[in-house]
Amino acid sequence: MEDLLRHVELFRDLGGDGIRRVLAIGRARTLDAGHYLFLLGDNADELYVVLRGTLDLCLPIALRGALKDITVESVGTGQALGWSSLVRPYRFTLSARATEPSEVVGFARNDLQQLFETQPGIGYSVLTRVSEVMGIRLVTFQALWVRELQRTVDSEAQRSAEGKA
Amino acid sequence: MEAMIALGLLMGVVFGGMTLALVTGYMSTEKARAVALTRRQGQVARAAQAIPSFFVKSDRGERPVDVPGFDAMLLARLESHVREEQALVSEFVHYPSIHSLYRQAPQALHMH
Repeated sequence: MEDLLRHVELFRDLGGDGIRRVLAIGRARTLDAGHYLFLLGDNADELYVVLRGTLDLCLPIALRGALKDITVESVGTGQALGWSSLVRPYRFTLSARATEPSEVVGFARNDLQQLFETQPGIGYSVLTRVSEVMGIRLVTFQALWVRELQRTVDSEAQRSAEGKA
Repeated sequence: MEAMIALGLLMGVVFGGMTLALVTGYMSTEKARAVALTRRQGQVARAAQAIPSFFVKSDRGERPVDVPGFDAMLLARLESHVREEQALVSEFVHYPSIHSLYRQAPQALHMH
């Protein structure tokens, strides 16, 4: 597991000692295919790294009176998820569902915060990576959203032009 | 003696009232939760209907197709669309520009 954590984006800049300190507060758990690791709105108490398998990050879509989860991102081996555990209000903004039998290691927020306080270098490195992940996510979804807005504008303009014709 | 009986009656009334209040409060909380859950599902559906749709709207007033597997097919197309869109904006994330923001997909997603 130590070798795997060395390649995890969030822990990329940590040395061997830092990796071992992070590993010491990790707790592994397994998931069957189709099982949820967390649901949108849940308290975000743990940051997770995927050890094996794949998890889909989902948002709900209402489809003919029923809520269905639509995958907006997939995370695989070595990738982290659950950065909401490090950012207020500490609530998950997506649901995470295993698409195959998977294993993750969870790091409790309290343990991480305590580690960051006693090892500020580790805290700085990890939180820098977390901010990068958040930044990429933010920019991606901003772009997706404005593209949908543009489509709506184009559609309405076309409809208006057809109505006048 | 009478004072003791009166005190006993008073305590009984107080504790009985507290128990009744607890039970009533619990029942109303559970009922409120059930109502809130139903309302949330309705809110999601209504909110979704209010969002300008990127699907082409049919003016023919036809009912949605009720074909087995339709929902699964629709979800698969939505997810494919999301993946495609994410791939298209990936360049914008690292090199933001109007061009990279509005890169076109090879085939636009339409529903008729």
